[in-house]
Order: sequence, then structure tokens, then C-alpha cells
Amino acid sequence: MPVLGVDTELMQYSTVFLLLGSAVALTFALLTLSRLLRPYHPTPEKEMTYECGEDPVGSGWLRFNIRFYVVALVFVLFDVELALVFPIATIFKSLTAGGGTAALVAFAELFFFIGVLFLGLVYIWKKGDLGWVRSFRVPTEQGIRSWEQPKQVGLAPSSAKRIS
Amino acid sequence: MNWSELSELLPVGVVLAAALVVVFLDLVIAHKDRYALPMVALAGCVLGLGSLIQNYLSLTTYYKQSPPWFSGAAETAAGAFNPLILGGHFSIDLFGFAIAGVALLAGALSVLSSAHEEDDSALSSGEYYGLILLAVAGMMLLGFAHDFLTLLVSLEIMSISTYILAGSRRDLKSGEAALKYLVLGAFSTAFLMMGIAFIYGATGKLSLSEVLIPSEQLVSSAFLIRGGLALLLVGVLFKVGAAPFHFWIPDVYEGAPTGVTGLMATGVKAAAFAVLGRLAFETFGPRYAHDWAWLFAAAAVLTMAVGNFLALRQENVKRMLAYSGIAHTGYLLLGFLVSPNADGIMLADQLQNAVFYLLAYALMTLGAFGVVGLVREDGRRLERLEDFAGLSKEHPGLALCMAMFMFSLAGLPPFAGFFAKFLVFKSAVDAGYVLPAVLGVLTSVASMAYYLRVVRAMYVDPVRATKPGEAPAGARCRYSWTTNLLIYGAGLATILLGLFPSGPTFLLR
Amino acid sequence: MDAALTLAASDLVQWLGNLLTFRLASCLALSGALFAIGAWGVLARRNILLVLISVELMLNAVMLAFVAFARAHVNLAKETGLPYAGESGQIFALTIIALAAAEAAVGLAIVIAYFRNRQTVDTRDISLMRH
Repeated sequence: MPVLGVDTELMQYSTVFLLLGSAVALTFALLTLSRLLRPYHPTPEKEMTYECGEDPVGSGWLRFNIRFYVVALVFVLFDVELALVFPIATIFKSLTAGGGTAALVAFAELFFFIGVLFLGLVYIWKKGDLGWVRSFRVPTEQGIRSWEQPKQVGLAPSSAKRIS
Repeated sequence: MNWSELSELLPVGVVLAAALVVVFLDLVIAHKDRYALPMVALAGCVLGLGSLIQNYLSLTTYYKQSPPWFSGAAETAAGAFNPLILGGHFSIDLFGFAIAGVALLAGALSVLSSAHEEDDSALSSGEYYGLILLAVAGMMLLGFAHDFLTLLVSLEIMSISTYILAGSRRDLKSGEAALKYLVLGAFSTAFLMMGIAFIYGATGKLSLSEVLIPSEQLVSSAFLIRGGLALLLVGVLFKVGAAPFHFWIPDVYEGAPTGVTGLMATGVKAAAFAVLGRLAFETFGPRYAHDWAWLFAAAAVLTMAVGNFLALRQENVKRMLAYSGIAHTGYLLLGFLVSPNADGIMLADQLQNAVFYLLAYALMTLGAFGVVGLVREDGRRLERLEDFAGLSKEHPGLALCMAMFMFSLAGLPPFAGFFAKFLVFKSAVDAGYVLPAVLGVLTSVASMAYYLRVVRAMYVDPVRATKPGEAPAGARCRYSWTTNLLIYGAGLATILLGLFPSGPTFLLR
Repeated sequence: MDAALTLAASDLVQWLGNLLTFRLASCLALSGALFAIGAWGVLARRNILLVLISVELMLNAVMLAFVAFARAHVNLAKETGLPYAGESGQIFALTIIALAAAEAAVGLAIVIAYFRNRQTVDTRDISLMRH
């Protein structure tokens, strides 16, 4: 369909650009508004950069705790594997046309896929990889290794300190 | 699409379910019961094999004929065997059955050869056996895959599991092997994917047997499709470990735990050859043999020469077996040379010979790696040639089996390796590629030098003292009934396959 | 409105339209460049993390090629009425996203495990077995 005399389908992206533009404008508008309205009493604590979980003290080039990577890797996997769900979602409407059995099968497959992902979540949870201090197996007197859960600390240990 | 066709992939489902069971079992059982984990993994492989055989029998009964060797050889008449299922994504044919069988065998045998590694906690965990089963499931799917999408996904299931397996021992060599395997494997996968992208762009198709059939869908030039196929071949030759893309093999095979090395040398190689076979027989076929077969022939000659030549210089038995594996990739490539005027019967014969080679090679290689994994002293793994001195006195049975595997790998009668080599050389000559076959025979004769060095070390070489001042002692082995079962079973099979080479084909009828 | 200004505005719209028009060749050129940069990175970089990033770059180049080709097939099907072959390319691209994520996660995990053992991420140090 010709848009502004230009016959190109990519002009359909104008909606996206419109959305982008209004998002930027809205952000600026809200920030300016709050700047005009709020009281301004800075303290060093308030001026501190918010860096999730780490105290912004000293150089930024310190070595990050390796546990960040474990949680991040797990997150990336669960986040991105859902890309495989999109194809079913896009054709789902056409599947409902022929009586609905195909749609039911596709629905079941979808849940099977998510179920397998959920099993993975259960596994890492049980293994203790989601806790900040990883639980590990220790030998006991009977020679049987058992799960020992060290003291659990929240995901962001320094946040408590910062609030006080 | 008929959803009940999914049941024909039930063997893969069985193996995947076993993988989940093993992984979760490790979470709930007590540590002293962990010896059960390899048994569960083994049971998964056996059940998978049973399900595969049951599938084969029910298909044969249903269609009143055995499946065709590959989908291109299927008759098109109504009521004839149609191997393509799920919209052509998988082809349930004899080639797929054979590759899946070899994969299950390799998986079961590598579970057996890993079961003694109790000293290393990572190697006795449920994750280790679960990953072996996942890799086996990927190999089986790769055997049946008939579409670039399913091919790529199965390849990645197999590869990613094997990357982790290669690094599962907690030492530097194992970690280094995993890193190298990961980087180079991902690198080659990228080339493979780019090739698929080009082919898809030129033809709009993803089915392996259809992409080269001329149609009006072609967007553009022959350059795109040729470039795509070239990139794809680079990726596939990388995966099978053919020269000039073989350089990653020795380091990865040496560094990985021995049970995993066995799996990589046999199962992963068989699955990679499944891709190569489908490309050679279904995509190119006799129609395009003029354009592409010379490339396979050149790669075969180069691979045989490089593998055998470099194996001569190795002092480490595991590394020597890695180079020997490269040489065997060369021999196997000879089995995939298609003649421009071949008919369906000849192609089926060639595939049958190649599959026989894969089976024989899997048995003798896994057996040899099993022996290498057992030779150790004070918990230290010994892999050098001189460490095998005196093995014939300390463990005559193991030494005899190792000698048999070496003779079989060298291609001496009456062992399975002889018939395997004979059959692939014969199919190369029949297809009209005489010079590569002659070079294959010559390099095969030269290869006896390094295989016999192992036999000489075990039977002739004088034993040395491990520490100065001690009495000389021969090679010592760890005892493990599972690995012994693997070694003696593989040894027996190597002889039986050599004496009755038509056995597997007889069973198919 | 001034006639010259109208002309300039329509030129701008024309220029924007040309910029936004789908061109297979430009997409493939970008994809090829990304792939080449990634391949060079894998072969030349010394930091193993940069090598992994380069591999991801190559996979993203493949994804871009697939999406571009899928689009070209959609256009071709519209122009000629041939059977539609666009969706398999898009599904392939989505699949590659998932595969690349799995590969990256496993790769980083292996690098972390190796770093704990060796305290190095330099590829020149990863050569214990060279003979």
C-alpha cells in the first residue's frame, strides 16, 4: 500500500517509530515534571549509583562474584528458549480451524515443552544453584553424603547494609 | 500431517526419558547407591535398542517389506513403504535405523567403560550419564533427520552434550579439550548454518532430498547454491574430522575422559557420517556426482595420508588412536563416493558397506579405548606406549583383546576390520574411483607399523621399574567388571563379525 | 506552501522510502561482513571470551541471512504466485536464537570452570597437549 507516495512495506514500521518517539517524549516529560515538583536534598547515600547487589565503592574494574554468572546463565537459557514457542503462537489460529484437534495437540506440545523447561528449573533449584551461597554435599559419619544447606543470604547481600 | 507418526520416534523418546530419570535419580538417592546410575543409563540404551528393533519389526510387518535404505530409494507406488514422516522432517529408513543402532551401541559401551571411574565424582554423577544419553538421542535423531532444520537441532543436541562431557573430568587437560571442542565445534556449526542459509535462499526449501531438484523457485544464481553447498561441506567435513579440518581431533580425544573419547570417536563420528551420507546419497546422488564426488575423493585421500602419517610418530596410545581415527575417517569417506551412473541397488549396497564399517569400527575402537582406560597405576592414568609393557604377563586376557583390536583396526583377516575395509574399498572401485581405493590399500598397509607397535609393547618389550631400585613390574590395571564385559564383548563381536560378515545383513531379512 | 519546499519534502520522503525499502543485497552484504568479522575474531583474538563473542557474531550473521532470505521469498511468492516459502526461514532464525543461547551458556560455563583451574583466559596458554 503506498504510504506518502512511497510504495514500500517497511513503511509499516512507522507505527514502531511513532511508539519509540512517544516513549522518549513521555520519559523526558515525566522526568522534567518530577524535577519541578520534588524537593531537592542530596546526601552521599542518595547520590550513589544503583548497582544491583554490589556496593559502588572503589574502581569499577573489580572482579565480579562468579555467582552472578551462574544466575545470569540460567536466566539467559530460560529467557531465550521461549523463542521456540513463537512459531506455535503465530500459527495457532489457523490450527483451530480444522475441528480443533490439531490445536489441542499443539497446545499439549507447548505445555510439554514448558514442562521440560520447568523440570530443569526444579533440578537447579534442588541442586542449590539458585541460592546465593550454594548448598553442597558433605560427608557425614555414616559415609552417606547429605544435603547441607549453609545459612541462606538474600540475593543482594549489600542491599540491607545500604538501607540502614 | 499425521500425529501418530510421532510414535516412530519412540526409541529417541525412550532414551530422552532415561536421561531425565538418571539426572533426577542422582538428586534423590544416597551417595552409596550411586553405582545404580550407570545401570539405569545402560537400561535406557538397551530399552532404546529394543524399541528400535520393535519399530523395525512392526514397520516390516505393516508394509510386508523391509524399509528402503534411504528415502530416495523408496518406491512411489500406492501402498509402498513411505519412509518420510512428520511432513518430511524425518526419514524412517534402514540407514537411519543403522545409525541409531550404532549410536545406542556406542552409548551403552561408553557407559560400561565409564562405570569404573568412581574416584572422580564428576564422572559418577547422574549428569554425566544423563549427558551421554542426551548425546545418544541427538545422534539417533541425526540418523533419521531428513530436513535441514531437524538436522541442525539434532546436531546441536549431540554437540552441546559432548562439549560438556569432554570437560567433565576436573583436570586441566579435560578442561582444555572441552574449550577447544566447544570453540571449534561452534565455529564449524556457524559455517554449516551459513551454508544452509544460502541453500534456503537459493531454493526456498529445507528438505535434504529436494534442494537440488531444479524448480522455478530459484531466487538467483547457481553461485548462491554452490557457495552454500561448499560452506555446508566445510562444516560437515569438520564434524567428521576429515583433513584439512582434522586438527582439533588429537587434542580433544587426548584430553577428554576415556569413556567420552570412545563415544566421540564412534557415536559422534557415525552421526556426522549420517549427515555426510544423506548429502552424498540423497542431496547430490548420481545426478550431481560429477560436480561433488571428486571433492569427497580428494578429502578421503588427504585424510588417509595425514592420519596414518601422523599416527606413526605418536608415543601416547590415546593420541595414536585419535590419529588412527582420522585415518579411518578417510577410509569411510571412500564408502560415500557415488558413481554418476549408479542405480538404486548399487547405492543401497554402498550404504550397507559403509554402515558395516561404522559398526565394526565402533566395536574395535570402543574396545581399544576400554583397555586404555583400565591401564593405570596408583589411580594415575597411564597412556604412553611404554606403560603397556608387560601387559601380556599381568593381564593376558586384556592384552589378547587389545592385540585383536589392533589387528582389526589395521585390517588384518579374520577380524571385522578386514571385511569392513574390503567392503568400502570394493564399493569405491565399483563406483569407478580406483585410484583413491588403491591409495587406501597402500596407506592401510603402512598403518600396520603403528598398530603393531602397541602389540610389540605388550608382548615383546622388556618391562621397566616404575621407581629406581624397585623390581621391574609390568603394566597394572584397575579391575572393573563392566569394562571387562565391554572389552571381552567387543573382542568376541570383532571375531564374529570377521568370520560371519553377512551376519547383520542376514538379521535384517 | 512554497513549491520548492514541497519538492524538498517529497525528496526527503522518497529518500527515506528508499532507505526503508527491503534490499536483499544490502542485507546479505551486512550479514557477510558480520560473518567475516566473527570468523576473523575466532581465529585472531587471544581472549577466549572474545572468541566466544565472535562465534555468537557469526551465528547472528546467519540469523540475519535467514530473515533476509525469508523476506525475499515472501516477496517472490507475492510477485509470481509461486508457493510461499517464507515461514521456514523465519522459524529457522528463531531456532538459531535458541541454539545460540544454549551454546553461549555452555561455552561460558566451560570458560568459568577452566578459569577456576588455570587462572587464565588467554588462548596462547591453552596448549598443554601440543606435541
